[in-house]
Amino acid sequence: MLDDNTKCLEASQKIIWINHSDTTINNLPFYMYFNSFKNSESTFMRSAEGNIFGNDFSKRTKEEWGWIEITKISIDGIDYSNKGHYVQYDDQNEFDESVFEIPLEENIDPGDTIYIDLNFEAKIPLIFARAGYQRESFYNIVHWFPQLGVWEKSSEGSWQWNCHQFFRRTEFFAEFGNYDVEITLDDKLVVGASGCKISEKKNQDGTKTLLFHGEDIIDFAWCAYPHFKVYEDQWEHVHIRILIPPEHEHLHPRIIKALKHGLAYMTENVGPYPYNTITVMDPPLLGLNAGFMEYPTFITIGSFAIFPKGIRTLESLVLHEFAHQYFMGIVATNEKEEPWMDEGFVTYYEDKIMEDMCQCKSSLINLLGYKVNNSSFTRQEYTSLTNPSTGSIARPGWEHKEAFKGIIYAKTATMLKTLEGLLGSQNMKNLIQGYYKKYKFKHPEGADFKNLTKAFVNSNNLSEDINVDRFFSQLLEGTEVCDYSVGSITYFRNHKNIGWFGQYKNKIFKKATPNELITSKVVLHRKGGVVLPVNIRFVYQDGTEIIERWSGEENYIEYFFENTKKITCVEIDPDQKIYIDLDFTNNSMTSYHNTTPILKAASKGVYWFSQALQSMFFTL
Amino acid sequence: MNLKRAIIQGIKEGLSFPKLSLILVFSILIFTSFVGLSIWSWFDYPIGHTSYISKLLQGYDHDLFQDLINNQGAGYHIVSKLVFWSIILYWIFTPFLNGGLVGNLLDEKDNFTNFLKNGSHHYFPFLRISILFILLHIFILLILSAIAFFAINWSLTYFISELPALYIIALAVFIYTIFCMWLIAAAILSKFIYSNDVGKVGPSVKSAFCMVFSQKTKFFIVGTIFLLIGLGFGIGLNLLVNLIIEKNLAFVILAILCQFFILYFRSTIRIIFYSTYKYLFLQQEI
Repeated sequence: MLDDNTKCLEASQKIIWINHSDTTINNLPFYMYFNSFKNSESTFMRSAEGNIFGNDFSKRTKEEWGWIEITKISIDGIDYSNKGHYVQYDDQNEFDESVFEIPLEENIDPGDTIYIDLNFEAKIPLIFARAGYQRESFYNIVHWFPQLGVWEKSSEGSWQWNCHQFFRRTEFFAEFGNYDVEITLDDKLVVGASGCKISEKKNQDGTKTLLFHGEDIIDFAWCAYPHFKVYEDQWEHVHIRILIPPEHEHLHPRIIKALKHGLAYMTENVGPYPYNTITVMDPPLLGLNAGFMEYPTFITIGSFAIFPKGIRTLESLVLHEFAHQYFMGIVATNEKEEPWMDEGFVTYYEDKIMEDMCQCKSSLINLLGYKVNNSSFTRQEYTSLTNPSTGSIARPGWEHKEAFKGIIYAKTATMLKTLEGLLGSQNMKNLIQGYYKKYKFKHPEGADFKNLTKAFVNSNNLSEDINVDRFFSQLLEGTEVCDYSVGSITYFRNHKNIGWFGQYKNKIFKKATPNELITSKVVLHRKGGVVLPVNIRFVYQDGTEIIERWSGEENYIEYFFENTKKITCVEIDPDQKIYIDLDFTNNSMTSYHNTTPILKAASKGVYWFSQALQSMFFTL
Repeated sequence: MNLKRAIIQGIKEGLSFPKLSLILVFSILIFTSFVGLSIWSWFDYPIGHTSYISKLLQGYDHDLFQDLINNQGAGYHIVSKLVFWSIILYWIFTPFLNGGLVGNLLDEKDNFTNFLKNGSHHYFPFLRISILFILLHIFILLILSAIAFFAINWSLTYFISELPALYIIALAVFIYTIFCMWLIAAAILSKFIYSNDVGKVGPSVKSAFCMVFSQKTKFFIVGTIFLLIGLGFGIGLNLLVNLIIEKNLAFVILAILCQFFILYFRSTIRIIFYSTYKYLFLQQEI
């Protein structure tokens, strides 16, 4: 029950849980993430460095902080109220209350089913990291209930709880389950949630009760706002529901179009969308901090009343959050320990769907001649980092102190695009389809994806194109960068048999004979530490081409071509398969001066600057 | 002489000053060509001998520009610094251009010698007028921005939607445009008044403002007409230039010629604009 006046939740919860492992369990940990917003000393707030999304929290009133408490709990009929305690598995911060543990009096044996009955109360905070309320009764109620950690097999083979504290840079990880959630709230509020709405009944006290049902989902989130306009549509078996404030209403066709394209693309290229619903919530500006997030069958985006069609960041955002339904929603990787496995995969698919939807090289922005492709923007986020070697991708979220987006989102997506370049698009599609098929409704780890890729490469005889172990150790675990460059093209004539030959009286002097053969010498460099096999295109002056494969092992390599014609152009990776190369501008060299494009660029610069100067000072 | 006749006279006269248009175009190109040369160097040194640069012939390429900025940041820095200093230098030079322009229009002579004579003669008084009007623009902008800032903050606190904030921004832009029209009119008229009879900056500016505020609507209308003409033709011609796909040298040269024509056309509009104000001023004088 949501109290709109006090911004409090009062709820009862029943959990049925089965121990599928072969190990006996003697404790139960619960995520209690609302407690991360209880005070400035929680692990989340300590790592927030004074503000969340630019909002200073030092002036918050007591009503604007949040908390959650289990008021009563029994497990299999045994009362455990007041028997639990907060634990800090990760950082021993005694003030952090984001994980609550109950030591069990009776163990849970393998195969046992337990029944947990609990009541909890929660104070909803003014929005912190997506969760909370805003004025005008806007609510985004996420990670809001005591949720069990994940009982899983570690890489060493033993079973253990995976229930990390809430850090600023970590998201969520939970077990699949079936949810039946009854929400009672003020009748004026329009509600959107994970799962499907089963029923809605009005109560006599001016409230209403809604029942939602979600199957095989790892979390349940919901939102409410009295001014939401609701648009509904259908894509095959999927019911689409858009909740949008009136001032953004005109944008709903763009959201639906993007979503439908995303559903079709992911179904075709990854695997079928298993749920029969998807709800998109576009928050009003006052609740923007609740946007840009993914929950099972429920995503939150962010838009603005004026959103030119040429700026497709709205579509890109919708597709990013939607792709999360697959990567972290269905293939439920651990967002805390391996954030690259959801954000990186999702950014890769966001780029792919956008480019497929727009069928152009300006999938993200096409405004006044400024054209940017989604993948190009993603690559830029990585290549423009002050230090692209700042850290490896494969690290837990809490270890990323800086360049989180540039490394986790952008470098991973660019790495996957490079993997696609090396494997080929069809092979990449097959690989990901296999990954999805094998790990849907499971919790794969990075090692699972690497092993699957290795097996795929071996079974498809692709090992000449890529060394999987080396690829991942360099790009995923390593911090080195990839940068190939052409050093020089020079020419010389190879004069042979000139000078004195023989001894004494038999000495013969041989003069140079006309040699029509010219030797073209090309020097290539590998400037970065990453070694990837790469194609080199050599173009003779008459346009004929030679393609050579360079393993990239050497820091420096020379190629010699003796021919009557000169090599006039050299291109490393002409098809841009190695998309993770830090600098494309040094990947080619011509012996001739390519002035026409420079003339074009310079004249455009002069022209637009002249226009600007005329406009600025024509009367002054 | 009514407004319509003043505009028609302005157009006729503006079109009869081709040399003046060329002087204005070339004088602006002198400043901007330095920026052009720095752009040339920025591209030429690192990627002038690559095939990658050919991507520029297909339009803007984000990877290319980004890699260039990442790896040749110094070149980009030089371009941006040159842009900044060219703006400053061009502003310092503008009173000379305006002196020549106003002088030639009043003398009804379309020649370079007269332009130079008037430009040098009026330089310092026009520079003072320029500084005064820049300060007025800044003052109005600051006042409007401060009001808009508080109004936007208020609207975001009391309304649930960002639309009122957007309306406030639109209103602020509209009000600034109105002030701009009057300031532009006053700036041009004060130059004509100075050159024609007064010979002192202060009284010229004062007379100009009296003239503008006695016929606020008229000057707003004429300013708006020229703003719309300028914008309309500007956008239309730029779209035409964009239709030229500069895939080889011939098309690049064709595009450069078109761009030159557009700059020439804009200079002619400027002369027409000044000429119209001249007739409006003379009408007041009579």
